[in-house]
Amino acid sequence: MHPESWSYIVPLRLRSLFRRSAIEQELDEELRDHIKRQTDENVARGMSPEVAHRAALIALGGLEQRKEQCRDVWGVNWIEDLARDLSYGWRMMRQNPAFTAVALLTLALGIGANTAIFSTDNALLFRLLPYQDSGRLVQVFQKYLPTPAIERMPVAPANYLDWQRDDKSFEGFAAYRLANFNLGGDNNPERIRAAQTSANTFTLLGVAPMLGRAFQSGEDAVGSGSVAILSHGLWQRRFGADQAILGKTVRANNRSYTIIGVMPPSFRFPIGWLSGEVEIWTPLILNTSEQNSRKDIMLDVIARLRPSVNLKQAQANLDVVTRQLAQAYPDTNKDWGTNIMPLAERGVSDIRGLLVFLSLAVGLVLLIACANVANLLLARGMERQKELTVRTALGAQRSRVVRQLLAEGVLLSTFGGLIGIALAYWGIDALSALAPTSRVPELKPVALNGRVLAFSLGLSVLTGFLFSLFPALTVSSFSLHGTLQEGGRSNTGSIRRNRLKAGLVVGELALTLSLVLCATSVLKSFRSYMAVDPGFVAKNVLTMRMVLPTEKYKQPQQWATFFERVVEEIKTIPGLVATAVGSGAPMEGEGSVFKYNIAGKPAAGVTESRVMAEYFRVSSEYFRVTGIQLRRGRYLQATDGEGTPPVAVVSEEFVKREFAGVDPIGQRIMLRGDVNQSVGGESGRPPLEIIGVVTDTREYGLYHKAQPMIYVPMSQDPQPAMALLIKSAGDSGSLLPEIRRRLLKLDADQPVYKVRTLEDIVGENLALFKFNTLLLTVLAAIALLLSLIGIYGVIAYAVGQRTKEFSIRLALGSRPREILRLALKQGAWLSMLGVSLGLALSWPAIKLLARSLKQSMYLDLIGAGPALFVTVSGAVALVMLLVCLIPARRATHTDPMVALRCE
Amino acid sequence: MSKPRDFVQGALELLLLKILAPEPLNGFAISQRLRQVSSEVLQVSDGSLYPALHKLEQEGWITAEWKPTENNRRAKYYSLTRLGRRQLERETDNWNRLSTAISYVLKLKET
Repeated sequence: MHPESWSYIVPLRLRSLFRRSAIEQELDEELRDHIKRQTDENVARGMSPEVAHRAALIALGGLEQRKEQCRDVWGVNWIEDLARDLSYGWRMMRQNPAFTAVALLTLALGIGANTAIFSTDNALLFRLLPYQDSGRLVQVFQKYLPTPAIERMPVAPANYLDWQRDDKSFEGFAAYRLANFNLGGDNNPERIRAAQTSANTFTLLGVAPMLGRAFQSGEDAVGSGSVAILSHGLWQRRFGADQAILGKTVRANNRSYTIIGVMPPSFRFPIGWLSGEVEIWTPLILNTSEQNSRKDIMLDVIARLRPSVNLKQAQANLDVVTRQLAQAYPDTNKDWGTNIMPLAERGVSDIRGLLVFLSLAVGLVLLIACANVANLLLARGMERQKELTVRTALGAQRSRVVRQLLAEGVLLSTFGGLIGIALAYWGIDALSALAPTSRVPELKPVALNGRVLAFSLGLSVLTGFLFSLFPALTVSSFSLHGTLQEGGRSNTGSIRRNRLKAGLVVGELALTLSLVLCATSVLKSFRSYMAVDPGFVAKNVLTMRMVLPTEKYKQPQQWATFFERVVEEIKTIPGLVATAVGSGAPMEGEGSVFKYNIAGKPAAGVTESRVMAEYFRVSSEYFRVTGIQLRRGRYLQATDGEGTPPVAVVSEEFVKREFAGVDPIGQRIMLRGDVNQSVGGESGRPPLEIIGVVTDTREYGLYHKAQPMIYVPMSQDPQPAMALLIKSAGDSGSLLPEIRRRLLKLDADQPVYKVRTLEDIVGENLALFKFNTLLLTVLAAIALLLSLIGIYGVIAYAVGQRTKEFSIRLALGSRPREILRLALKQGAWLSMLGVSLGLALSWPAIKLLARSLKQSMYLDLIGAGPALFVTVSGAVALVMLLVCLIPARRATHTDPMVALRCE
Repeated sequence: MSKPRDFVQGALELLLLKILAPEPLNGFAISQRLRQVSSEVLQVSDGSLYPALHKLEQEGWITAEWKPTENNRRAKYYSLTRLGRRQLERETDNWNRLSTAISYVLKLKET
């Protein structure tokens, strides 16, 4: 459009908008003037005035139509039309409160559920990290090439240093290592999570400290590094937000660190569910042997991509470097590659599959809600037939009518959406309370923020379009003649509409049944998992962990002595049944993994994973505290210790794997070293004699197979980090203060952490699955409710349509039971169809569910067989049928006279 | 090529522009002139010219003014704008080119 023309157009449009009545009057005047002149001309030709006038009108083509056409041409119509449509829609909503209420509730449920799930997606899948330009940050893992599943391993320092050769793709690399610090002093020992980071880390992340400075290059060199940066939370909590904090010292693990900076409140690094909340950062010091090591996979590595490089290119470039390294150092690097992932995925990729599935499920629920509302609209559309017909007769184009119906629909859905947002707000609160945030701390910030609200409103509008499109198109196409007849109903349009409604209901039922069957599967699986015997007795057992700082306790012998004293001290507390220490409580995941050989058996020809077992160092009472049963031989005893022959107790799974059919007692195990360390634990240790076999425990979780376990006496292989387990006669919580007091007596600087019961541990194991099950069940319940309403609506309407027919039949002598059967027939038919379709749909749906569960939590769906599915489907069909009974029974009570009279 | 209806519509708009080129006219006068010029060939009903006129006005090619007539009444007079004149030239060129092309095709011998 020419800028010049604007000088004409703009005043015109403005005038159309603001001086509308004047414009209307002018149009009227203009057309009437034409008619007058034409009439005069006709009269001059000899027609009588009336005939002349009529002829003029006909020649023009009808005054109102022409007016309408001219109005259509005016540019600002749509604003006015929209306003008019909306006010009309508002009036319609108020005039039909029942319809409006049902529609609003349905929409609110659907949109609310979607909003709630989206806010979770938003927090987890699309979140922004608190770093500068976080989209460019990636994490770099070592990947074990022979086993593709092992692709997120930590990095060996020498490899990390060599990767910095690739500066084509990366602006820089940074590395860090998680640690635990015992903050000492002032009688308030506290154990916090720490991260030792390379000096350039904060610069790479692009976040500057709120107070003070970040590390400088060189501060991570050997010999220096006695500086620390605090998190905002730690600074407030432990140092009282002291403004003069810089330069003061903090004592951690018996070393002094000078505080040089404090990070801003929103800063978290690293993010991810294994990290916990890191509260202090110190420089990462690697000694010379560590720097040269290609075997100790101990570092986590992040990097920043160059602006023009994408992930694939970076991966390709880095692969070149790793291949060079593999050639240069074949014995360490032959089997290792790299895996680059966006930093934002950390901690989330595990549950991504689940979230995606839930999002799909909740989308289905929304579709079902749309189907319901569409049906409602179709039913109501029939009543508005006359009104719309008249409008068309007056010259409204079909597109106009459709636009109006769409506007009404969008208005409805927007209101529904607003209610839905309110529902979601409440729902998210409930979700957060139930969510396993200890396992997945990322679930905490789930909240309604701007983006979620925008999504919700956008979804509402889209939904409005979706459910009103079909009804609008259907209702606006009809024959003038048929509908204007008095009592006009039933013609081809109506049949098509009924078929559409039936189709919608069948679709709804199918989707609902799929959801219900998915929920059934997870429920059954959950129950099965809960029934799994963990292999130990969790009741009344308290656990806590202690980590001895190696600066203070240098010798392994000191570790053993300390923990022996702990057991001695604690077990005298009244109310305790038994006390023990161990590498970890069962199912905590704190055991080591050791490679081994069986003396006398050839090691060759055996795959890597077969020669590894879980390795636990335990005190003699460990089995008594945990309730692990003895199967053969004997337990470890207090006499098995330093100086006595090395012994071990193994689990049944171990026996199954190594000694099928042979008595394991007396056999010898040769340990080949800790899988995760290059030094320590290796040969040089005498072989262990197996003296007993105990039952399996599900160390990796209730839904994983039991692992082969080796238990050795703690004093024969001490470690500085152990768990204290206490079995009490009754509730263990009340004993906690006394336990703490006695431990402080032993070492005032030694904190305990992770204080929880064994029942907590077991519960936590299932927490995520439980959460997922709950969500899915709630969704399925909502879907079921919506479908019930849906089918009820359709059948009630259909029965209402046939009232006349039924009353005639009754008058002619039909028995009520026959009427009932007639009324139910459609309902039964729809149920059957819907359920069958649903069964077919659920097949791929459950497959998808199983796959996402497997990816996220390594869970298998168990226990849901075809029999269960058929039963549940039958139950759903029955419930649908029962709901149809209500209007059907009402049909049998029709008073013939009343029905015949009313129109 | 657009639908036949658009074709006629385009032709109508071109004619209206041409009719208004010499002097401002009111709606009735335009319809009379149109009848003279095109008569039965185009079969344009009186009324359909009003939406077309309003459309041309919205595009900025013609502009309207209310002028008093005899009998103390007033009538709406349309006149061509400068932009409209240029549009008229452009459309006339297009039209000539189109009709030449069509005539050429029609003249081709059937082989």
